Amino acid sequence: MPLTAENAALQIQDRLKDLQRLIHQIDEERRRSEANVNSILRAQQSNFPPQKLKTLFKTGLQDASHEEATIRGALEKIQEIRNIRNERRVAARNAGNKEAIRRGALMKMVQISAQTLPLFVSKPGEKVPPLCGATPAESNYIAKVGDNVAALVKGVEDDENWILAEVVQFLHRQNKYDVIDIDEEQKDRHVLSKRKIIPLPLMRANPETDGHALFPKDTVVMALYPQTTCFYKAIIHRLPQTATEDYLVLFEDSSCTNGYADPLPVAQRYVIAYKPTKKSGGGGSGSVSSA
Amino acid sequence: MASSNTKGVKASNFGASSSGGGNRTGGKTGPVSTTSQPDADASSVGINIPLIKTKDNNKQLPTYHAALQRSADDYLAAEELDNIQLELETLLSSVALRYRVLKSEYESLDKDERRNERRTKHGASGETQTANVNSSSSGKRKREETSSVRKPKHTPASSLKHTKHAKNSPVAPNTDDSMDYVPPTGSHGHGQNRDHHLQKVTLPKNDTPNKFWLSVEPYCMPLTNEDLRLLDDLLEQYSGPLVPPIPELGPHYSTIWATEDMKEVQQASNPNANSNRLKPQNNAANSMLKKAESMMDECVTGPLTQRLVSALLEEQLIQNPSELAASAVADSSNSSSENTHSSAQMNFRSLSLLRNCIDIEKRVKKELIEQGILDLNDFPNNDEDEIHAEIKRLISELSAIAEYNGAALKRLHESAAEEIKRLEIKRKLDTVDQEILEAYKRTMQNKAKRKPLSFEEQQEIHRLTAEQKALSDQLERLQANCFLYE
Repeated sequence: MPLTAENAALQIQDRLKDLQRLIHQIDEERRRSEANVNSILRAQQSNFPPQKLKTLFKTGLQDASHEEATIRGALEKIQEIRNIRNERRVAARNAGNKEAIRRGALMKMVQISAQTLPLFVSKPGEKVPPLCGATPAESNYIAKVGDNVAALVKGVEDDENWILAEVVQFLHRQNKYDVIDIDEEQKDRHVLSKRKIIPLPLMRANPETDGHALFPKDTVVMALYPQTTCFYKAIIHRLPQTATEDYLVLFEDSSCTNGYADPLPVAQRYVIAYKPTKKSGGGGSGSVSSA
Repeated sequence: MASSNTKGVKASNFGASSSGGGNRTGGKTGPVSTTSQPDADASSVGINIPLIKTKDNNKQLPTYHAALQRSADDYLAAEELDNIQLELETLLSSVALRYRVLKSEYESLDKDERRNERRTKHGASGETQTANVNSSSSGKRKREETSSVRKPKHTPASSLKHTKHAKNSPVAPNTDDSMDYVPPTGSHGHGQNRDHHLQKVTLPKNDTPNKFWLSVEPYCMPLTNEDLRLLDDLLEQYSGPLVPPIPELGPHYSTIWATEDMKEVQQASNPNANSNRLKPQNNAANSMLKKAESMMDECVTGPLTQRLVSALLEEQLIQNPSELAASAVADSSNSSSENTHSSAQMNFRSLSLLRNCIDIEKRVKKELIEQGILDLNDFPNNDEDEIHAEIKRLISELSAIAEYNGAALKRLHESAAEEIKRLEIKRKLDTVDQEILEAYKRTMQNKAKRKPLSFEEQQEIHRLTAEQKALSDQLERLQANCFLYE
């Protein structure tokens, strides 16, 4: 069903309303949780018999799972809104309405879309899904229309670069992706085989609960060089400590004494497993975009 | 009350982690302390239940707070979506962590309860109230509280952050699932658990040194006669003629080598063929060779024999006048060779016959030379083909290596014999040492009882020490010899 602008706006409004309601509900639940946590702490201090403590813990656990469920619900609504917006954007693009974005705005967008990538917080015992943090996609995965990917494209001088691109469509018959450069200045579209496309993570891993889903320190990765739309070879220098933090990575830089540039922050979304290419030299740090 | 227990989750965490390090698995404190936003400040001591206080909404969750100011029936402002997402994610992470902490607390409580009740009482009595004035919770973890340097309640966030980073380095440098957040096990407020946890910490034993020494053991073991025997066996192998003499031209090369080559090729073509499958293949190889035999006959009979036989046959042909008239010399030789061919096919199928063939060739050669028909110099030296040269070369190489190996073995054998002698003496020395020790102990006991040493005992001690001296001298001499030898 084609999503008209009015329809989309209406749906978004619906969800915004739900969100507002959910936020109130969350607050209610948080208050209840807080009260119970306080009584747990009080109980511990006054050395309650374990049996009673256990009951209190049980209540605390119930509170926490309720609260968690509600928050997850709210976050889901937010994601739905994002999906609707994305769908609208893709539809608009297909209709030929090109939004001209300045370079600064583009970089900002790149940054924000990384920040607002949904956060994966595992339930106890839950496995990290593919495309969350460092977890790669399954081999038969096909990136959806509108998803961002890293694409290996040929530049002017026959050098290959991993650029930030968006999937326009997947050509099933050829088993190839049709992608566009995220940088609107590059007008050309690329039709690339599957192996020249790396889907970007669809979720951030939460360092506090799912630290193992992050790239370990010293892993060789490809990361989006800040203020560009190009991926270069880098080494993980420091992992994010909280959900909002970025990786610190060392980009390969032949002009530096030790071969690596100073650590730079790169969001989880733009750090992907290293994939060697024919000319796997990624030393062009500092070069801007794929131009 | 409510004001204190959730403030400074981080600060309290530090206290806990700095002193109670032994109680918990390292690195696991990190996640807890980072639970609340970097600027969270709360101050629960004892159990660390991650909780962002509703009171701190406006500070930590401004967008969320703003949204709460509006009615629940209102719409959330669309432009706040990004921020509210981040704040909700913070809340989610916090509540997920809280769930884990509470769960582990609950489980450990459950375990403790089953373990014993007695120690609960003990833990309670050991409790001292050293907590902050405004700390409403805990107090049970006396050790941690007394030893920890309490952070001021309102430590500037920046400094906290700084220390935090210094403290909990990488949260999860590992990729395996074991890094899944596990709440600090020692963090619950029950003193009686402490011993239990300490035990737990010491439990994982490092087995690597043992494994290492076990692997090295065979190389360091004292020599035994078994080793000598092994050396003897090896020496014996080297004493005999190393390689069989180069076989004569003939079936050895034509049949045995061919079979071996066939086998080799087959084995190379299926390297994972098991023994079951190998057998029929060998048979196949043999049958193949048998098929080829007929072709080889000709070669085996040898040129001289062929010439002789054909000469003889030609005589017969000459006797036949019609044939003589019909054919030129070349033609007749052709047909005769065909004849020999077919007769050879019939006659020389079996190996024994083949051997006869060679004998024939030899005998013919010998006869021809003796008769003066042929000269020895007429024959190119058959032994001088390239295969023969290669075999010779390899044999000379092999014998050089064998000579070296034999020498090394002999040397090893000698040193091993020496070593065994030395070990024997050492063993004796050890027993004497043991006896001396015992004698010493006895003497000391007697001394304590103020009993003088008897003559026999003195004699015994003298004898033992003399023996010890003699043995150690012997050992030293041996060792000196060893060094000289080397």
